[in-house]
Amino acid sequence: MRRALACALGIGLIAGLGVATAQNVEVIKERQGILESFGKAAKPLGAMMKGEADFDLAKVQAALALLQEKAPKLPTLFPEDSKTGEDTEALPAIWENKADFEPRYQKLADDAKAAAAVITDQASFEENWPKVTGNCSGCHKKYRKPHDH
Amino acid sequence: MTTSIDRPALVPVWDGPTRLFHWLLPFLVLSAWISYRYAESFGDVRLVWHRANGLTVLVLIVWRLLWGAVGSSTSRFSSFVRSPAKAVDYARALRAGPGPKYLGHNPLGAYAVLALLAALGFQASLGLFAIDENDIVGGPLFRLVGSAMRKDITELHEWNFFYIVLTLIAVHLAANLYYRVIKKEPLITAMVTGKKPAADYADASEAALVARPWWRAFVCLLAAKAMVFGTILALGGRLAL
Repeated sequence: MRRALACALGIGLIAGLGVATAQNVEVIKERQGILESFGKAAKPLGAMMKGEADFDLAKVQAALALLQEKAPKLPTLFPEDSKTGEDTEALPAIWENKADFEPRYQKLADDAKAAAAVITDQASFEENWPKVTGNCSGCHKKYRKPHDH
Repeated sequence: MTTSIDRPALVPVWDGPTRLFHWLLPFLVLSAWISYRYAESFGDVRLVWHRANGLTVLVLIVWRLLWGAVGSSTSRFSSFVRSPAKAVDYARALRAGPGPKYLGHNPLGAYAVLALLAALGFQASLGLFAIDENDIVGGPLFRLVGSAMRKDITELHEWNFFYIVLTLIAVHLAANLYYRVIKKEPLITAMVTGKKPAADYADASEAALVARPWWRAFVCLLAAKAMVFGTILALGGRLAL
């Protein structure tokens, strides 16, 4: 009886530990999905900026709408139990600087909203898209694992 | 000679353009780094400053190559670059004892100069093909290569900076500290004033400075700029920032 109790206790402990240390895989996948969709939406805009594709207002507005819709959700997708796993490129700096990190997504959404209101043609696009996408590089340089090393 | 014993006469070592070139580089390297890393904070997401900075470095490196042909004796590659065997001999002599003193670049330092010039020239050249993090601007020649290649070059541009350029700069600083502290040679002062105390130097007793160096350097600068910008335009690149 005592042995069975000890055994049950042991299993319970191990299971408890397992839960405590398990990484929150779902939340990592969710944020990766959103951020990848941002990258995908921004790609044709990069080609337009670089003069490699014709200006397409519909694609620009679709990208800006996506940023406004999804960016505000991102601050909730970096809980303490999502620091590793799923080949995450999130740097520990995120959890050390939450006060700096989290508002960046709202700023991205706000800047996307402001840009959506003024972008009507190629010139206004070239002037305003950098203001939006600067949020991406600014955050990546500080909080995303560099891709080359 | 009217000099006193405790103050030996000073002899010319580096001409003015060589010194100005030298000291511009650390500023430009630092500014290239900061203007990229903190571009968003400066509101320069299109990396206008970084790109102008890189082109300036490239023009200056080409200028230095020209100056290595027509500059003062201590700046000429033909006079300061010696065989690798000489560099090894020099390093051995330096370890064994005081070693020979050189007025200009010593045989080992000469290779450090070449390595630094090559690394910075390579770095600036890679930048011509690189694209920014947000994929909205590129160097003047990015259209020449495909999108996968651009990314590889951009990564190499970053890698070369952190692993080659910064390493060489660290070696350069360490070597200068070594000469300053251990060897008591005023190399840093000489790069500022252009002069060294007269001594029994292994290469020359003093530099043969070119006449009207600034005028000559200016012509070289125009030539260097024409070569860099001309090559970019000839390859179908765009110079607008």
